[in-house]
Amino acid sequence: MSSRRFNILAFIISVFLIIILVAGLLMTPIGLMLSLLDPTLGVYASSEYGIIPGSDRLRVSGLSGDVRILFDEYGIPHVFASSEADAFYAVGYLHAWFRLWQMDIQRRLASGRLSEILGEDGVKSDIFMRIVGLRRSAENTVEWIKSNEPDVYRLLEAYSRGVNDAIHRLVESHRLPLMFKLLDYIPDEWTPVDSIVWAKYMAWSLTNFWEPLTYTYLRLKLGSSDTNLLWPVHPYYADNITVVPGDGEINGKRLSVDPSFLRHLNWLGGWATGIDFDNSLVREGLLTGLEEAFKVIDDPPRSLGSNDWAVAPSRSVDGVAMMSDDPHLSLNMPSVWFAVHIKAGDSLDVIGVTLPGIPFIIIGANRYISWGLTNTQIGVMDFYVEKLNPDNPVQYWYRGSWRSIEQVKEVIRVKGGEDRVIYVNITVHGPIINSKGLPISFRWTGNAGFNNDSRGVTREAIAIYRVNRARNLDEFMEALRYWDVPSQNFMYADIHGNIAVIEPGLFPLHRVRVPGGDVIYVVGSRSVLNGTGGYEWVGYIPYEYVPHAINPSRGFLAAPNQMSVGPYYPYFILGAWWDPGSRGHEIFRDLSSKDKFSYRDMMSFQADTTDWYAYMSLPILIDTIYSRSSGVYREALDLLRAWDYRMDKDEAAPLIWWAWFSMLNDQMFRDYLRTHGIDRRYYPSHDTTLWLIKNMRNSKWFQPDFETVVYQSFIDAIDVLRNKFGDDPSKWRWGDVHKLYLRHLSMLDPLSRGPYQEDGGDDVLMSAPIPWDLGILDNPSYVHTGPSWRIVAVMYPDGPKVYGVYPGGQSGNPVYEFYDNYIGMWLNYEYIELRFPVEPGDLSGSIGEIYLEAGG
Amino acid sequence: MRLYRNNIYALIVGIVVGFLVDYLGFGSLTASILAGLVVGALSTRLRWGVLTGALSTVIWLLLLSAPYILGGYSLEMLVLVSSIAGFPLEVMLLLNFIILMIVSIFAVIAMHSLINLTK
Repeated sequence: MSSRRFNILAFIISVFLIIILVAGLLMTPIGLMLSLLDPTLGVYASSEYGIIPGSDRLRVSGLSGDVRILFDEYGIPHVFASSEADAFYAVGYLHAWFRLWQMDIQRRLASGRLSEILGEDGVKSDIFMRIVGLRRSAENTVEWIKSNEPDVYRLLEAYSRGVNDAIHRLVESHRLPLMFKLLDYIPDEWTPVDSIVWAKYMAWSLTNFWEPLTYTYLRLKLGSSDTNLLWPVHPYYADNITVVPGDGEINGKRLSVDPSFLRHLNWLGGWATGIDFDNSLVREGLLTGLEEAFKVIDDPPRSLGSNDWAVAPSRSVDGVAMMSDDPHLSLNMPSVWFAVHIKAGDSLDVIGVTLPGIPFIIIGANRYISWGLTNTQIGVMDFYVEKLNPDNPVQYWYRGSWRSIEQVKEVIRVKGGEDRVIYVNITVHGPIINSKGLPISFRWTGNAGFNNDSRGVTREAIAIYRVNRARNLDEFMEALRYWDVPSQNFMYADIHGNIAVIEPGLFPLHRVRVPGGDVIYVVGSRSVLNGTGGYEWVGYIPYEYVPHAINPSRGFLAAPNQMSVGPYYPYFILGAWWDPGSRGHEIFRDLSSKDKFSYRDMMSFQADTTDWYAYMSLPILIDTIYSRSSGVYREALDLLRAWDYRMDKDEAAPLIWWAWFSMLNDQMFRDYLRTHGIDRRYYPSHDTTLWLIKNMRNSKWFQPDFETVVYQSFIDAIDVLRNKFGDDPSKWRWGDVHKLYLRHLSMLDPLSRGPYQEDGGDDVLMSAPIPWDLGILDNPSYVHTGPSWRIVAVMYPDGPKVYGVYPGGQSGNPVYEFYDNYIGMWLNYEYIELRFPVEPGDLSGSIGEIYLEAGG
Repeated sequence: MRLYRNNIYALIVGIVVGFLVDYLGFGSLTASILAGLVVGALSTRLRWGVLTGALSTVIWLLLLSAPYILGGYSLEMLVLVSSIAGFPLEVMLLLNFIILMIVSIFAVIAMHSLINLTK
């Protein structure tokens, strides 16, 4: 071969190989690996993301003055600004600097844009979120805020500027968080709509109760009678522990009809729903529609709930009001919360936790007041069966005429795949969620909006901003006039010695004529409703009549998601998915256990692991079978007898209780549900089980008889535990089964933390639920929800002392010490004292600073 | 002597080009191709060029990575990435070096052949 031909060949082959190699590599995981290991663009630089800078000085245009951000030894930033806009710019910068990927994935989740980065894996969620339409409502809300609350809009804009400046800086320095590099994308600019859409999502996740669908399904399968017995209108054991003390009368107004009569009505019947359940075609169409809807809806994790309570000065050791709160949410890495202290001139001086993506403190304290939140669990979503025109299926019948369905085109971009185009069908009620069977739409307050005009304008951002600034109870109550969704129990304590609880929010009312002819106003529903116009919302509960209590004579208030009001509340709350009351009973017991409490008591109550159901039912269960037991079974029963009902990880008894009660529920309900064609694990809540144990021992729920079911369930449970953990019950440990896993939002295990053996359980104040299902012994199921933030505020007149902790850390950088440094403290019930420095110089032990210099 | 000097010169230029191109954010693959092309143009013989191209890749890559690895949390981040990928870190790093060296070597050969063709 001549030299020339050799060179030609060598040139062609090498160029060809370079092209093939580069193109081939870029299309394979190796290409991703090369980019990750790239010293400049790869993950090396990501390790510098979310680090607290020793000293960082930036020139920022648009600031009215310099801003100093000092970090204390726990990594909590203290923002000192001369104006609120500057302060919230800094909060935006901090959020992005420490939690950018979390913010991005959250707004994508809420907006239905996960597929753009996750491909096919995100499509199901995206379709559902496009149907729900949070983004549409968020856009309308921002437009409204811009026109009607320009001051708040300016703060949202300032926050967005802060986020975007951090994004630009991170992109330019190639320091974007690891997940951006793993998924190979760059975040879009942040806008106020992104903040509001995340607020909407939080509201949605706290109020998307699908119970009316579930109860319709159960009613169709089991009949009304059994459904109403197993899932009663109001919990069996909740009347004496309501959030608002008293019989329900409010501002001189009370229910005019006997509440007991209302509770025992069949609200699943045709009179209440307008649905002809006796018509086989309707039944069939509904069942198909419901099955289809169940496939579409994103069932939220059960057992979400929260605790909060307040103690009056008369009941406090120091003679001051105290507030305690621990919202139970999904526990992930990074945490849903980010702690910060914001001081802006003389108008704002507030500390607590923010939701990355939203500028304001959601739970916390300022120099005058403190507040915490729990969910009211009151239904603010109704479902309607729409009647379509058989000759023109894009029309539906409403109030005497055919109306056109509004079709909204949504294009879902899918990474590595074809775009999906869907059309969301919207009626006067809201979007239709199923495509087979009878069409079911839903109306949710977050989409209906405070004007009930279906534009979805809600004003929580305004309310919480004003709460951040409130200096007394009047200002606090006035601020919450704007709180629309999710309806929350706002627990309150201030330096003036007041305690209060209020449940602000939009509570939709139905005007209902009950059997007997009385007309009452009803909140929510237990079933799908006829959508042709007779079951509409006629308004919301006026703010003056939402449940609230101020300075009760007993000296405490508590709202761990239990029943809100006494029976004579003027609006009959039908659609309420209240916690049946085990946590309520326990905190009432705690707060009645002595005359005066210290802040340490408040902390110990947050760590209370006593299971009220065990306390109420075990003595009966043990007595029923004790004389029949022997050997290892007797040993296990003796452990239960000696138990203090605390679900502590190092004890055996909680494990035995959990296994026994799980098995008991199985043997009471499993076969019954199966014979009615229900494969899902729709067991009633434990208050029903307790009620049946105490009141219906000679019923079909205990076959062949009560004693046999109790005995057999115990034997079977112990045998399962022996098989798994050996024959010595004293060596069994709750913590061997009950473990917390803090899963990273990406679901990647190396970025997650745990599993950790953990105290607590499903029905206890120290909430840490795992399924009541012995199947998890072979297929472990971890605790994924629980106290996402613990706060105790002691409201001394010269300034509050605030303590808090959440499981996680401030930074989203998984290799940084501030990624998970709170977890140990949280597991051990330790708290950080949240300091309130007046001036930057007052913060001793600062570990870093960002100085934002106005100008540039 | 001149032979050595030319190839050392090619090596240095290759390192500088690779370092700068990657540092400026054009990516490792682009850097290794451009560095290879430069080395191919400056080196005297193909076999020396191949050696110089490979060596320059190793050196600029190490020079660029070292401050990160020595300076902070980068090593932990690399370990994390390898655990996410499910590959030992050593294998990943070695693979990275080898691929970039191969790409660089092909670039050396291409440029060397092109220059010979135009002579």
